[in-house]
Amino acid sequence: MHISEGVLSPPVLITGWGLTLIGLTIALKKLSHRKISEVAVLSSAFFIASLIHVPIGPSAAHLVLNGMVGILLGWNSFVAIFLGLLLQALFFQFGGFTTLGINTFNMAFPGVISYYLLKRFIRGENQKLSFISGFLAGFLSMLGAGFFTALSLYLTEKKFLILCETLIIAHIPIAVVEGLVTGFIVVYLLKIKPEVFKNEG
Amino acid sequence: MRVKIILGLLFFCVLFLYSYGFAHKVNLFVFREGEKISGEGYFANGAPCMKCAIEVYTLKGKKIAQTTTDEKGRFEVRIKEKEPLLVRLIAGEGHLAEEKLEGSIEGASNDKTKENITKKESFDLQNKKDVENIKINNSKNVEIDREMLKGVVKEVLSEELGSFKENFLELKKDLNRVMFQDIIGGIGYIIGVLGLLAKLKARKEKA
Repeated sequence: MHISEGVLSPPVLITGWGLTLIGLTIALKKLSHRKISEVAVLSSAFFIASLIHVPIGPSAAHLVLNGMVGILLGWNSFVAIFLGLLLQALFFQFGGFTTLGINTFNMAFPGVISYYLLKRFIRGENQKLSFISGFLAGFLSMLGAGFFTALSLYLTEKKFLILCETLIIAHIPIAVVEGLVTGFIVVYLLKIKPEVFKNEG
Repeated sequence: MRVKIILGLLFFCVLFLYSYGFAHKVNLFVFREGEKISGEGYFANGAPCMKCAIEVYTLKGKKIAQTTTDEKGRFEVRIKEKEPLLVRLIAGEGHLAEEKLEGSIEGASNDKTKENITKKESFDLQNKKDVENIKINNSKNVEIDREMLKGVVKEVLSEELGSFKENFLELKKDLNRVMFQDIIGGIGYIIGVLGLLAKLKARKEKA
């Protein structure tokens, strides 16, 4: 999921930075100081979750939690994911600085889509619907991140097409896992702190 | 209740199935010995990068060799070029590692060694003109012996350096592993940066 330095073409990298800067601008405008503690917690969760990986074929997929971050933070997930990725690049050389923009967009934007599509179904009174919405948020955000990563690679070089297909197929099992994790967290949060779903993202 | 228990078990099974490692950076360890380039590709947690593409380029960008890593993430290619090279490991999903190799010492030094031998021969011949013929024969023998000696030294060194290479790789893998303190440090930075942002936002909202 973290695209390394030297893989993507300059136009893709520039577009990635442009889209991420737009996302960050919207997020910082919307961000209230009360919401920042949530952003910090979720950014930390993302920072750690991305370090847990499952070997799939020649490569490895990892938890992203972008669905959970997205459904709880909306546009603010750009801030959480950007910060997490920046520190991962600094500390562990995961991804890179030139690819920070595109990596942030690839992971944060599907979360924002999930927020607008699914958050309305997460309600304390209907636990099953909330779990399904949480599951779908995790599942679709993960696949969305896989899709955008594949698209970035495809736009750089057309021969990446086979790799892109593999990448999306490889992410289906991890997307199921991500969906389950997100679904359980959503149900748990509804029980102990339902107000987190009432705040505007 | 039964559904909850099943879901709970499923959740723990899923977590159990996870290999808790630290990934998503691919590393390349590469050695050049004469015409042989060997090395190993591995992820940040030390797991081997299996069946990954290895490409060897000249610094001008011409691809001269390619192979794939084995089950242990290891590879070996033979090249004739003596110039500095760039080895690229492509692990898929946009993961890439590159390592630059200096020009082949053996290749570069071969001509120099021959030149040195010739110089030595002529030096010896100038000093001992009376045994000129014998010296030439001896010199030829010395040259042959040198090659033999070189081969033997190379063989012994390769055996000796084998374990050194293994240890060096292990050490490199350890250095690349994500440490617990790095994670704690990262979380500290996140809280610090966002704390600062919270303070700025609070001040702005007050004003």
